Amino acid sequence: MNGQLILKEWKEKAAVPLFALVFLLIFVVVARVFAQRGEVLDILTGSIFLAFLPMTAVLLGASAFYSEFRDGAWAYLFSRPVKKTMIWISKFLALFAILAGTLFVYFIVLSRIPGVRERIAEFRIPLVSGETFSLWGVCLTISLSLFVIAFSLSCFSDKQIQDIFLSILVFAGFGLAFAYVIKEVLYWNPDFTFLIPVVWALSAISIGASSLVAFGRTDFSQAGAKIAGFLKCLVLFLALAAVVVWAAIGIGARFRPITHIRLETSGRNAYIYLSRGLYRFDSERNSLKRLDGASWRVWGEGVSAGGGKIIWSKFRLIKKNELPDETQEHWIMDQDGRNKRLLLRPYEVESGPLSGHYRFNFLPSRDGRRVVFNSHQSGNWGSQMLWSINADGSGLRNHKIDIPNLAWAYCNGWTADNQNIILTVMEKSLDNKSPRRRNWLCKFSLESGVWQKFGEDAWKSSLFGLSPKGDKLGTSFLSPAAQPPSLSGPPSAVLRPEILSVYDLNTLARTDLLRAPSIGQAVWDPSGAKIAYLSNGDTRLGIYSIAEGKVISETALGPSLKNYVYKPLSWAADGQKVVLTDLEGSRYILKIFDENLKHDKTYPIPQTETIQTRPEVCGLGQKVLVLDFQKSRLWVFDLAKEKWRRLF
Amino acid sequence: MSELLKVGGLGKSFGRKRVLEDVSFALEPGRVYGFLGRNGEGKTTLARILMGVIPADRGEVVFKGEAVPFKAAAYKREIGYIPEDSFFYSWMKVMEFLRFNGSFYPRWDADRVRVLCENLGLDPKARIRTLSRGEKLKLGLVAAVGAAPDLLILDDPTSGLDVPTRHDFLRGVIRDLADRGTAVLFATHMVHELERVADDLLILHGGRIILDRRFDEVKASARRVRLWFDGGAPEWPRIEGTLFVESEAGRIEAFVYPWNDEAEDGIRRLAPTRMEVEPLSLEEIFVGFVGSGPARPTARS
Repeated sequence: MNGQLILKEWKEKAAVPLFALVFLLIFVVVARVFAQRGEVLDILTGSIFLAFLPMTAVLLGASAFYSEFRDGAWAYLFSRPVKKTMIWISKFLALFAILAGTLFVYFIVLSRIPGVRERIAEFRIPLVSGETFSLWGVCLTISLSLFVIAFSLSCFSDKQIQDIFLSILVFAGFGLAFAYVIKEVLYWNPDFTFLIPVVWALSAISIGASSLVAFGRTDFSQAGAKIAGFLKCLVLFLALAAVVVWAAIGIGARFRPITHIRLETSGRNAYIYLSRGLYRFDSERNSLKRLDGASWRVWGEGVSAGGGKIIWSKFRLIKKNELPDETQEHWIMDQDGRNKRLLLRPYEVESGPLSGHYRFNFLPSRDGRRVVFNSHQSGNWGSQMLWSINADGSGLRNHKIDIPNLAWAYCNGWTADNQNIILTVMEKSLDNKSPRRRNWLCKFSLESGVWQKFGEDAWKSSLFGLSPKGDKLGTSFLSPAAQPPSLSGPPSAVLRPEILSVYDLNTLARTDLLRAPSIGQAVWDPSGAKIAYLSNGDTRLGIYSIAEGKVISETALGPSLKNYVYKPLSWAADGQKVVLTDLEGSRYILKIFDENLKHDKTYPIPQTETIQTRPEVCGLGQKVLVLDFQKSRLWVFDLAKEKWRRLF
Repeated sequence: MSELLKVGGLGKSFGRKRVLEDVSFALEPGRVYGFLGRNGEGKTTLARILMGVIPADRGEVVFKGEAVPFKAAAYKREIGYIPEDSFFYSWMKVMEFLRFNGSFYPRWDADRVRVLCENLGLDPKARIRTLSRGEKLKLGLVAAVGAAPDLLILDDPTSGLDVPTRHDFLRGVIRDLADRGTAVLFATHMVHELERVADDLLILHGGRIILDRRFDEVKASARRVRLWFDGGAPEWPRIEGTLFVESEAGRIEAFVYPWNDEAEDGIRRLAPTRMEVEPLSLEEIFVGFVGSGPARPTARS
């Protein structure tokens, strides 16, 4: 840095801040005179911050090397015993100080003028996707970026006016290009709003850095060499800036606050869907692997039971923490994270029969070859449809739901032969005076299109579900005396089933396993030979053996919560243990029983003192996953080491 | 005597145009080097390369025994440079400019600068834009000399000056500087001016230094030969050092450098009826070396 050079620049460019100060006086006078005219103050404030100050910045930047070209002094300056890069830096700092001083004085003075002060505080400038920035922030970003660009270009051109126009064009071009990249390529995400000024600043910095490097190395006697040298450096620095932005997006996405967690399991693996991405937890290796996700939000859809495929959704975010359906894409990949492919595009851009259909409830077959899902035409739940598609994206078929008076149909799972799906369907209410709606279970053959209704009034089969092999379906029923709940009536009575039943999915024959008051959750053990269940308002835990056809063990639990909440229940250690979460005092605990329910151990779940929602539990080999929905945390309990580890 | 500046194998092209091919020479302290070359031969390019304004494509510059890369700056503290064109910030005042310029040089002699300004009749308070061309040259000279340089590079600064100013400049300043030990590389088109000050002569032609000799030696060794013949003139023999030959009905005129017994014997064998041999002026020597036709053989000391 050369003090005399800085001083020379200040003397040479003194007219710019003086000229700006004269205008400031005029602005102040105008603001005073028209203090009561809101529209005048609007225009005045906008003009100063969005036009005048940026123009001053670009003018100042473009004048950087003007005198050297005008007076032929560049050869003189470069032949002085000072490095060319130091000349660049000295000039830059000198002019930057002038610009910073001018902006500072403007801000201080204008922010004290009534009317203008409020407008500075209140003005919000929409830039991309409705995100807004403060007037002062936009002014600073534009002014500094334009200054850097104009300064950089002025090194290589002797025409000041040309520099000014070129700087504005370059700035606007980069701005639009980055906005396009963020919006279209990265799938605009409000989490990255901060990147708009960052990428503008980075592009300006890239241009500045290119100019600095080229300035120190370029042959100034050749116009072509100057520009070529500059452009070469620019490509390099822009690539560097792009890497920085990309890294910032990647790192930002990994550390984005978790707003939701969804868990699916298959074999020894758990698939964890977060706002940060899709992860796989291998319980044997105790390792976590990121399978997908960057700037998008992901949502879990389904994992095939046989370990074939994972299906998940991606959303662009338009507003923070909102997942708009119209941006939803459906993806499929192997369970090891390979062979990712887009299965269905967002319904707004999808052509063909699925155009305009909102898709949900994806369920891959056990062998991972086919996928079924539901859809309804956007905004019309009554038009629910059932579809199947091959995992490679081919063979899309619409299956007529042959259920009269259908309200909705929910896919429970695939049968063992991968030929049929089991659904829970609900009929529409026919009589407004008696709004009873009936549930059915259905077996649907994808090949023949035959619907077989069974299990009338089966109770929340999703709380029990298909056996691991897919040959049986567990469900429960209310006692014949109890009335099914009225969805339109007041939720006065808490009804809970009293009969635990299993259907053979080949014959559709029902077997009632046991009767108990207020049956809660029931889960198959990994071999499908035993069923753990809660009863008596979740105060008793039992195990039923399919082979023996009876309850083989039962134990009492602590009192249930007053609120109507199921206690989460799961098998662990390959059917050797039963785990559940319960409330003890003010915090939640993980209870681990052996298979005879004779012995149990209790472990406090970390950081659950203040939560209101019971954590979900899921056994996975020698690990137990505990999902705290409220705080969006996922814990792993190692059964062997008896230690907790926080995954998310 | 030790070399102050040594240039070896310097080359520079602008696009496809090769301006400097292979320039090599050396400068010693306390001598004035007349640097001649036709327009566009690369004198200004060479001066700019030496001053680190533009980079050379190849070759090296060694100053006081140390190689100076393009980005080096410190060595320039000991070199004064007056470019071909006006190079000042026109809005500055004379003393303001000199102060600004002086800030780059640790050896800046402000007292000497003040005295020089007085001697040269420069008004320290005058705006540069109001100065005449001669005054600007003086200012440039003061700016260059004020740094007490060991080497002064003048890139044709006297063109366009009136005769008395030029005379004062050459005799009063350049010679004086050289006598104080400064090496001066003086590029000019005013060939005859060099006769007053030059100790050595460098001629740049075809991208190479084709003459690098003591000025006195060149003057002493260059001859114009006029021959007359009865009848037609014979063919000019292969005489080493022939710079220029012109032949017309019974008469031949040639420039020869160096003139020696071997050349004289060769010419006499043509048996002219009359023969005149006389010294060449510097201008004629220059024309002889760089006139039309292919580049002449290099003459190096």
